[in-house]
Amino acid sequence: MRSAWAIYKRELVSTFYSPLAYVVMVSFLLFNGVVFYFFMDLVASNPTISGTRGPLQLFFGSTILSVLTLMIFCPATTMRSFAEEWRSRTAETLFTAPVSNLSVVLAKFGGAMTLYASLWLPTLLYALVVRRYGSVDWGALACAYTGVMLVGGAFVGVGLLASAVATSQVTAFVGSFGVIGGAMFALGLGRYIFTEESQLRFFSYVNLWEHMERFAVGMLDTRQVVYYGSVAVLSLSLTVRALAARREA
Amino acid sequence: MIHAEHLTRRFGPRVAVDDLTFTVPKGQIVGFLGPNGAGKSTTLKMLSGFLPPSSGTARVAGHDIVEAPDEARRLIGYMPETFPVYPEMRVEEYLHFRAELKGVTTRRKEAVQRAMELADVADVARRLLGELSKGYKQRVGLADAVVASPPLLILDEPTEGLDPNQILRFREVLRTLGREHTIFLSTHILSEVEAVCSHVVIIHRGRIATAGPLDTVRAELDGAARDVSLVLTVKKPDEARWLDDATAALTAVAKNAEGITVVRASFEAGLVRADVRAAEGTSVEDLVARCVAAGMGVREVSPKGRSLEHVFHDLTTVEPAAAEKPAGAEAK
Repeated sequence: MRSAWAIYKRELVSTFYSPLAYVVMVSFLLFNGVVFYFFMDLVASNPTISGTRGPLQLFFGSTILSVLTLMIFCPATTMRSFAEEWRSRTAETLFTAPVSNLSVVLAKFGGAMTLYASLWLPTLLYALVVRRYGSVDWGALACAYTGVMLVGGAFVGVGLLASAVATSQVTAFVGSFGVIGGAMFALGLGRYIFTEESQLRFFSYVNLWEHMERFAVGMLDTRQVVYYGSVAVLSLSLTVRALAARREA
Repeated sequence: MIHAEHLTRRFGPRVAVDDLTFTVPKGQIVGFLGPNGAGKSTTLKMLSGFLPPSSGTARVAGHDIVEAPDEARRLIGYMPETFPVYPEMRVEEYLHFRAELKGVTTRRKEAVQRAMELADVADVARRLLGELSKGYKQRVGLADAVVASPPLLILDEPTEGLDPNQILRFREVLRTLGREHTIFLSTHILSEVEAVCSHVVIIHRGRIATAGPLDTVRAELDGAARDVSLVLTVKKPDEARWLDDATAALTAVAKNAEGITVVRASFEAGLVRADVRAAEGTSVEDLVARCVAAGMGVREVSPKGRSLEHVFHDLTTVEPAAAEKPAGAEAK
């Protein structure tokens, strides 16, 4: 695992030396700033709608927006990971060092998640803004961030897989965007097609964005943790396999 | 140090490396020769653990590259052809990263410093890899290969992209490294092999053409016909006849000397300058003795030593079926 730590550190150096990270961060904050402003304004002008849900709960959980943006931003955090190693052929030096594919994948995952977390970090300021004008439910907020990290972990996992099989950053981006978007659409559509109770329950469980609504109001339950966790673990193990297969072909 | 056994690699239907069996003895500098596209890089990529073999395997100091890849890789410093780099990293920073990755836990700073000095890149320690020239990148690649002091170095065309001075310097470095490391290097520059290698493995179209100590390989092919340049004197020459056609005249004189064929001759100021070919099994000493027996005086003898270039040419321009030598294919 020492080698994974070395690769993780290098990932951070590469990520934060490249302008891409800052472009992604700025556009992320710009977009979410507008969304947050919208909800602040909404609550301020309609005191009746808030009830238990303040602007932060609305921001994280009331709409698909919080997850929809991840469809673009998660692939952006992972597209470089492996695709760039293949393209520049540094994969050859990386995989001839005494490191296992698993260590490499975990290090890349750690690197991408760190970038992902740093996208969200400045949004903590939103809580300070809300506190100025009302109260903040810190427990619910912690839960919302946990949810954001869980969804992100699953998406980043898929993004890494796409990057491991892609030939360029662009195909990695398009591939993970397509897979995440397609899965969101297909799994979300279930509830409009099926009518039986058990089927509806299933599609509610696998719906990729619906859980955010519960996370936002402070409801964290192991079923969701298991769901997003499994997607991440499955993607990462497929990534490990893909790295070996790519060299075998 | 390396024992390759039936190493084979296919890319789809194309067989890039076909059933290679050879040995790289410990402590030697072994040259890996072959024309472009013969499968050199593919073989080295397999040995270094980047590409898994389609079949067959190799052992590096007893560790199987298929079954125990991590242990094997730990013993190898690999330098790929045209060294790939992370453009955003500084030379020093990169070598620190590589040393850590290769498990250099103590005295990492010294290890990096030593590698940089050895590879002559200390002066660019703070430069970004992306802005280095090709020659410098290659040398950073060498520093990377030696940074963890592995017992075996696998270098893929290490002098590619270096200028002539750098090549000479590089050979010196190789000889120095050769005292502590086993080195297996691929190249298509033959003089490089003659300058630094003790052993050679020659492949052609993915198969072993020949392998063994450099002298043996040269001698093995030397046993065949050899060319010798001579300066001779002839007793009481019929000048007119010699001036007219020296080749024919010499052929007439030498017709009793067994195993000697006159290729060309010229006559000038009483001396015959001739290129002759001695048949298989005829040594230079035999040749001189026969010339004398035939009534010629011998002034100068210069055997045209068969350079590796000839060997290489002979081996790699024939069809692989004819070049196959199962018995002599393993280096001792």
